[in-house]
Amino acid sequence: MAKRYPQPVFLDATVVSNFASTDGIGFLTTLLDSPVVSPAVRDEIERGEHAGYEYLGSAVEVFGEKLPVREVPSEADDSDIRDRLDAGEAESILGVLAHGGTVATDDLTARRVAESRDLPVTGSIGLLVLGIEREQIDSKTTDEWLDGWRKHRGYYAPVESVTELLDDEP
Amino acid sequence: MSGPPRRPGRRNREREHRRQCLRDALAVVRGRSDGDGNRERRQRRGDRVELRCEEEDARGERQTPRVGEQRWCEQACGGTDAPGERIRLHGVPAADVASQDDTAGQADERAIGDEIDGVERECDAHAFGSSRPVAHNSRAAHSRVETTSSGGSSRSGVGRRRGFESEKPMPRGGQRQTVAPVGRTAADWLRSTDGFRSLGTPRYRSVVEFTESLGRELEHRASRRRSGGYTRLFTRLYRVRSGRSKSSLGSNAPEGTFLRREARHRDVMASSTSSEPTDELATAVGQYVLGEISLGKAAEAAGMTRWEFEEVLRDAGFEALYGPRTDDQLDDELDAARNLGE
Repeated sequence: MAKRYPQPVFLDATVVSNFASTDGIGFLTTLLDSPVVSPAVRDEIERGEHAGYEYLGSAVEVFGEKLPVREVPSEADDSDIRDRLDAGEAESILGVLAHGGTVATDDLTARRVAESRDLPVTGSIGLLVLGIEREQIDSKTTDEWLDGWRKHRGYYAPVESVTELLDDEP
Repeated sequence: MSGPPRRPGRRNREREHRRQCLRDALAVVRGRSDGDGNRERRQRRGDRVELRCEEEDARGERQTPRVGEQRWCEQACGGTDAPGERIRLHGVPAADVASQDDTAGQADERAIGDEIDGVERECDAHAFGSSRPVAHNSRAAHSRVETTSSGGSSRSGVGRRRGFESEKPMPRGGQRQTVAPVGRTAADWLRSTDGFRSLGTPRYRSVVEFTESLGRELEHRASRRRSGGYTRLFTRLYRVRSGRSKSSLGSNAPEGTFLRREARHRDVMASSTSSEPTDELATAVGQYVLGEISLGKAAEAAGMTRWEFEEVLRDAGFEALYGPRTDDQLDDELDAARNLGE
């Protein structure tokens, strides 16, 4: 079997929305070598901004250049994916199936669908840890973001601090 | 890079928590004091000792795992890290448990402790009430196992509760982290102890009533293969959460008191919605909560944006909507993120 490459990273609306809510889209686009979104994710974020969720504007601004939109071919056998997931989540998974790479989602159902197809899945807190380990963000900021996501985005992680997840913890 | 002071390792805390659960379970089997001066009565039939989880589900059903039979004991640990997780108590012949002295007991403890590494603790909840764990009360958490004969007619009296009628409601902001063990259906989870608690309301009796109805409705729906039923469930949930079906408790309380603030909050909730949830919305919430569809898909079905739907869920009491639920999911997420750098 050919080796899978972890890039590009197909970000779905949950991850984009999280980072946008803490003004972290810039971090996201510099952290990842090849972050992309599907057309449906772009459309969903734009609809959210139009619906009054203004913080999504920081994501809308970078669509195209810093956050490329990758077209996703329609699979003939994708009904099981689309039956359970919305268009953005489904396209993110279909994108990885078509182009390779990694799915970035915080939705549990989307994670399960991706994992059922043996696709690598990461999410917001995984990207925070990667950011710390690449020294692109400090742990104080990541904990502030995590706290903000908990309070405002309905985010949950079974740790209180990102520092608990760092490899150098004694 | 500097950061806040490190806390003890999460995995070490969890491991110690699980070990304590097992030690307490063993202590009950051996007839030791639970620390409150109470003593479990060990009852034997043949060479078998049964452990029963003290907490019942909404229908009064109990799990009856048996030490020595390689069954599992779902001990609702209720601790900080992983309430509701499965703990396997196997490979401990009851006869040995009955006859062992302290030294042998310690050896058995170690033997059982070694099984902890194989514990199944993957969780399955899609949305639950609170992401804020509370301080671990080890005594409360670990005194929930009772011994019984196989017939189940005789029970010890240590801390026995029937359902949750005698349990104090958990305060807002102090709710448990709730998870659903793998292998159980979402309906099972909703009927379970932690399903109750996940709804995160101090109006415990109402929540119990609601969840009992939920369990019956889900069974009915499954037996009839009906796709409906969510509307009633969610409507009832919505009422419980918003207090709309309640009388105006606290409306005459003095200004500034907690009761008065609660009453005002209920009034606001009631006035902000002119009608009950629609069929589409209720179905979408139900399907999402039961893990049938993603949040985004549910939002689509309800004709809302994702962010609007999140607000509906939060209004209904679901506060943890996204993110890894279990350590295994978290580890997989970290592994995938770290692979991005290779």
